Amino acid sequence: MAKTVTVVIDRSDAGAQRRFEVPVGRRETVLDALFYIQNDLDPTLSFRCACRVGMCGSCGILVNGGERLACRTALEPLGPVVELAPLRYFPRVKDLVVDFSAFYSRYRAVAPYLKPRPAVVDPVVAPPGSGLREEIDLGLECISCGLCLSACDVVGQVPEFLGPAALNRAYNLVADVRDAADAERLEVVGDRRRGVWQCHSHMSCVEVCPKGLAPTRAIAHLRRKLVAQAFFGRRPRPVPSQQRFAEGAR
Amino acid sequence: MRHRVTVGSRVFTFHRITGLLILGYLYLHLALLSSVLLPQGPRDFNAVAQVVERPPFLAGDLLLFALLLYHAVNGLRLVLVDLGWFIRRRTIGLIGAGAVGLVVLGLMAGALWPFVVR
Amino acid sequence: MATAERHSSSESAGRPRPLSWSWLLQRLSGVLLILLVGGHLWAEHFQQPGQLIQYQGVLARLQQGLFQVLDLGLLVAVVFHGLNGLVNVVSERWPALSRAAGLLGLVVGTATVLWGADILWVFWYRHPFLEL
Repeated sequence: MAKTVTVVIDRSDAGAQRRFEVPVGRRETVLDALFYIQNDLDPTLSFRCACRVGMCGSCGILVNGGERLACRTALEPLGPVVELAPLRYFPRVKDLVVDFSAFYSRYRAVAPYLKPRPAVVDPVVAPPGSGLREEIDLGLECISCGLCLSACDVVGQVPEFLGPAALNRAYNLVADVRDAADAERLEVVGDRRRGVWQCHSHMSCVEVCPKGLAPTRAIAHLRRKLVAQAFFGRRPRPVPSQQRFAEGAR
Repeated sequence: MRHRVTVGSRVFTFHRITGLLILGYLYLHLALLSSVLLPQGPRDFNAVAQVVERPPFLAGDLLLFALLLYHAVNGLRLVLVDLGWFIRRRTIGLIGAGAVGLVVLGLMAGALWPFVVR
Repeated sequence: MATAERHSSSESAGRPRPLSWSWLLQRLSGVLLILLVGGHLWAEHFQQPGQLIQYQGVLARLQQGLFQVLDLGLLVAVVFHGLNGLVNVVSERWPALSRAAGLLGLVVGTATVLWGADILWVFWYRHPFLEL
C-alpha cells in the first residue's frame, strides 16, 4: 500500500470541507494531487492551472494557510494532512477558482504597459549591457499569480490599496528609460488612499513571490521618487540616445 | 477570510501596540507632572522621586524602556527598509534590530542597577 | 482611470506632485525622536547612574536655553508622532472616520502641546519655588 496524504479542500458547495486520501510519492506536487482527486475521486472539483511549470501564474492557492503555486509545491514534505483553500480577498467563483477582476483592475490603474517616447522608434533602446536595464530587470518576472495580493494584509484592510503586483509593475515602468508616462503613473501610485503610502513593509509579498521578486523594494523606490519629486520637482529623464544604443549593441 | 499572519505582520502589530502604550504613557507622564509635582513644588517632586525609585517602579521603568526600544529600533528598521535596506535580507534586518535592542536594554538595566543594590 | 493617454513627460509640468505629509513627517519625527527621547532618558536617568532625580537638578537644566528648545521639540515631535500614528490606525480600520479622526487629532494634539508647554513654562519663568 502506497503512502497516502489527507488533502482537505475548502469547497464552495455548502461551505463544506472535503477530505480526500491521495497516494503520494517523492515527485508529486499539490497540483498532481488535485488532478488525482478530480480524475479518480470527485470530478466536480474545480481548480485552475495551465502550464504546470510555474510560469503561467494560474494555480495560486492557499496551502496550509500560505500562498503557493500548486504546481511548484511538493506534496510529501507538507505532512500527513494538507489543507487547500482559495486565495484571500479574491471573490470565489467555485472551489479553488477565484475571480481575478480586482487584481487586473489594480493593474489597469497603473497603465501596466509601455508608453514609449515618440522619438523612440526601436522598442529595444535599453539593450543588455547598457546599464539601463539593471533596475527594471529586478522586477520584470511577475507572472500575475496574485499570491502577493492574497498575502498582503493591507489589501485586506484597505481594499482600494493598489497592492504589491501593480505597484511593482508601476515602478518597473517608471524606472524604464524608454517609457514616457512616469508622471501620470507617479500620480496614481502617490494617491493617499490607494497608493504606496499604505504599505506597512511587512514584506509578506516578498515572502510568497514564486519568482523571488521584492515588491516592497519597488514601493520603497516609488516613495522616494515621490518625495524627491515633491521637493525638487520632476526631473526630466535622460533620453537614451542612439549613440548609447549603438554602444550597448556593440 | 483571516489575514495572513506572518513574521512581518506580527512585528508590525507589536509595533502598533507598543506605540499606543507609549502614547498612553505620555499622557500619564504629563498628568503626573502637571497635577502632582509642579504646583506643589520641590518637596513633593522629590518625595515622589523617592517613591518611584523603588524596585517595582524600576521594573515598570525597564518595561517602558523595553517598549520604547522595540518601537524605536523597529521603527528605524522600517525607515531603512524605505531607503532600500533589509528588504531581500529581511531576516538580517530583524535579527540585527533585535540584537541592537537587547544590547541597549542591557545597558539601561545596568544603569538602573545601582538603585536596586543601594 | 487617472492615467491619461499622454505620451510625453514634458506635458507633466502642471501635474500635482502627490505626497503624503502624514507618512513623511511620521518617519522624520520618528528618527528625530530616537535622538530626543534618547537624550531625554539619558539626561533624566543615566547621566549620573544611581542618583535620584532632584527637583533642583531638573530646574537648573531647564533654565538653560538649549534644553528648553530640546524639550519643546521633544514635546511637539512626540505628540505629533503619537497622535498621527493613532489617526492612521483609526483611518485604516474605519475609513469613514478618517477625516473626523484627523481633525480630532489636530485639536487634541494642539491642546496637548499647550499643556506640555505650560508644564515647561513653570520651570522656565514663573516658578514660585525658584529661590528655594
